[in-house]
Amino acid sequence: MEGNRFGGEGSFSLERRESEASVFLTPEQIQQFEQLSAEVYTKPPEEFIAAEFNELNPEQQEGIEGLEKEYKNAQLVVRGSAAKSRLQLLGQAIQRAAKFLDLDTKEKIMSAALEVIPYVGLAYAFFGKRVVIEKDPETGQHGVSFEDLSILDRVIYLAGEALVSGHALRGALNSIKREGWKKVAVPFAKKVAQDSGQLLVRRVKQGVERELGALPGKGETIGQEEE
Amino acid sequence: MVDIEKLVALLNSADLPEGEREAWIELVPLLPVDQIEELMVTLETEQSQLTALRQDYLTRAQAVIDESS
Repeated sequence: MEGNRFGGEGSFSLERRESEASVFLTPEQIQQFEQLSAEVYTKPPEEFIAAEFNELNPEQQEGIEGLEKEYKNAQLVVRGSAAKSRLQLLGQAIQRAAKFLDLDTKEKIMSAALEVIPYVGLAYAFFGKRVVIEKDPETGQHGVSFEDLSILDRVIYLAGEALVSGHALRGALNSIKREGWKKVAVPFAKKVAQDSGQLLVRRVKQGVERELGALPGKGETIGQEEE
Repeated sequence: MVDIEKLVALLNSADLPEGEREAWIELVPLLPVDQIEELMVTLETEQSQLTALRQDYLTRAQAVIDESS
């Protein structure tokens, strides 16, 4: 009788609790983690090449820009894939919690997710939301697209968006209660997916500009665009 | 046994989007150990790959700059 596996309440759950006690961090470890995390950390400065970009000949400038483009593309692939792994970890954590707490409806899972997600939602709204980065075999350029979203993913999107745009969440929750999940949340999640896509592209562009700016001299030409 | 110092160091040095480090600091105490370990592997792999990419980029950029005509 498979169905009884999560139904027992007596001695079984006690046993389960004991076996799980060793699977999480101990209170001492959590305390150590919190203390160490609270310490101020200053990142060591990144290594840069000391060169005046404007003093390079046009061929060299072109060469550097080509390398930077390639570097940014490769970075995007690494970051996208790492962000995806982190998102999957998060999804697993929520699914596990949902099973453990016997959350059998979307609404219950959503409320539980909202307890956990607000901390990470913001970050994932920017980056890694089921982001698929594929290299076009013909042009060699990387394209960014989004995979289909499961209900769980939509929850994550919603929560992320809520942090980005202030009171959006409360409104969305009320609308979902009134109109139902499909009518409200699916289009909302799609829109968020689109917006995060644009956000992602914008951020990558900014990243490139910052990187160029790191070469002394080139920053001046970027500044001149403001005229 | 999770190496807490290493975990904190990885979170500190990771190039995460704004707010994500703080997010994981809140989240880690809620996660089972196997997922924390998985998180550490993900962070470590990403960082070593990014470091290698940057090193490669700097080396090649330096080579271009050194090509004085």
